[in-house]
Amino acid sequence: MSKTFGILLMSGNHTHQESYAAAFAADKRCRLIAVTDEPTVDKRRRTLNERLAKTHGIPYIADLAEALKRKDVDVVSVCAPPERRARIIIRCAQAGKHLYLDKSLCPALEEADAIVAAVERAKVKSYMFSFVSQPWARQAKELLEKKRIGELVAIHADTLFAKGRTGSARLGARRKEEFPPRRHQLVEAKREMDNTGVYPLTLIRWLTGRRFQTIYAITGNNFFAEHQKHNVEDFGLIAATLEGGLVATVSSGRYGWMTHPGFGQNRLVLVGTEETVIVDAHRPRVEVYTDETPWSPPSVHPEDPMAFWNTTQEEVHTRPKRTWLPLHPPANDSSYFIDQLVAGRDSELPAAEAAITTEALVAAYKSAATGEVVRLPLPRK
Amino acid sequence: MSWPDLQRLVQTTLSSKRLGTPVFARLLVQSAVSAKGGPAFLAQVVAVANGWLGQPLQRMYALGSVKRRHVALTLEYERGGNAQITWVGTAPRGPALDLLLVGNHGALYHDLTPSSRFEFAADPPNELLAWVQRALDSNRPEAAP
Repeated sequence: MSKTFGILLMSGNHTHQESYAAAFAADKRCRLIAVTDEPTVDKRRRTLNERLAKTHGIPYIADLAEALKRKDVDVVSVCAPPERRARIIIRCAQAGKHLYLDKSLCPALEEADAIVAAVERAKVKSYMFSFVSQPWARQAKELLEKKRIGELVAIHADTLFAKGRTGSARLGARRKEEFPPRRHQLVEAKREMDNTGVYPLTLIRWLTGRRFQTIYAITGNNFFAEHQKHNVEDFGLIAATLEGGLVATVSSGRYGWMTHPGFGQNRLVLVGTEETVIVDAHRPRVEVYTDETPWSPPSVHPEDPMAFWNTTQEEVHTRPKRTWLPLHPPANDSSYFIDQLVAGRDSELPAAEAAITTEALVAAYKSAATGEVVRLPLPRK
Repeated sequence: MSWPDLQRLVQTTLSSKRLGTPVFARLLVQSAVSAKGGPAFLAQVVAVANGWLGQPLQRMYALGSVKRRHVALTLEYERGGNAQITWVGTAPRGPALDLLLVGNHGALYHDLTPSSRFEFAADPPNELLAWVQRALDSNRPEAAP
């Protein structure tokens, strides 16, 4: 009889746990055990955690330490807010639990190093949510591994989310970035160079196996007053070099519901010595045009104006976009991690790899704040 | 679609204000320009992007090299706009271009498709050409002269 993996959900609604929990629940090899969090969370967070527990008919264990004592927990899906993430991941690793990690890994370099050390010491398996399990990313990997474009010269990657009601940001001046960034995630806004830029940076590292050597970055407030109000960017650009002289650029951010017929520009341009190829999350696709009422943006949810979470979007009756239908359905990312556990191997994006992206993001914020090219590895204290 | 056709369509769209204020351009041009002509070609493309963004260009950062037949330019404009321009100097399947132009109210996309020759209305300004050359030589962000 095959093993069933017990899944502990660290944090609840209004986090990516909403979708991670649903994905684990849909995998017959998994059983959701409980929702948990630190005992000191505020009332709002506790209520949101309890709501997810109720959705799945599982208990809410208010103290993470108690939840981690349970022998039937094999994997912890960690969706704590970025500022609490590192200490929680470390506790879960120390408890000997495998780790399914929300992205990005954590905001600070020292935290990332501590996570990597804790995971290595505990000898647990880990994986950070990413696009590496998606069919189009695997296609890019195969192109490079089989050298179908010759030697790789450069990667240009875009991850832009078509969400939020755009046009409210005050334009006219360049954004002044702070370093280190004080806040990454608020109710109304997230730092989008981190939140969306983590995907292409991770892909670039995964596709090439090379380390970042220099980073130059720019952040901007191009679209949303919510981001501007909280002094976090809605847009980021990165120009980087990697080992062997490889060039990479990234554009990332959130650019509004109506800017794209799908979920947003999401692709890789692979420049080889013999050919340049575009790998796109929306290709190949079927396009469907009908006499249905055209898609329109949902009402703004007061607790989630940028449409981060599934439950809030259900509450404002967000309709799915159905004009572009990618031929290859998205892969279940959590099932990818379970596949690795079943096979007894680590994932392609364990904490140690995720930490490389954290370092690149920290360097990017430093560059955006100073206007200078930042060299990696970054100095450790 | 030819390069002049694309430029005309982009200009018409920008003039209509459907995109709002342009804030970001991502342009990939693939053209087998000679190494000697690379900087001038890049300066021409930068001049086009400058016209789309409609703001004074403030800083330019270049990665790659004309010799390696690949250059990525990151452009920063005075009022917060940005552009990323990639030139690929190998064109086994003919010249091609790919564009994403984002405004604060919408976006324009043009997929990678073969194009006729890249034709420019005029030579690039000497000052812009020198700036591109400086960015290519220095590998650091270069401010406006």
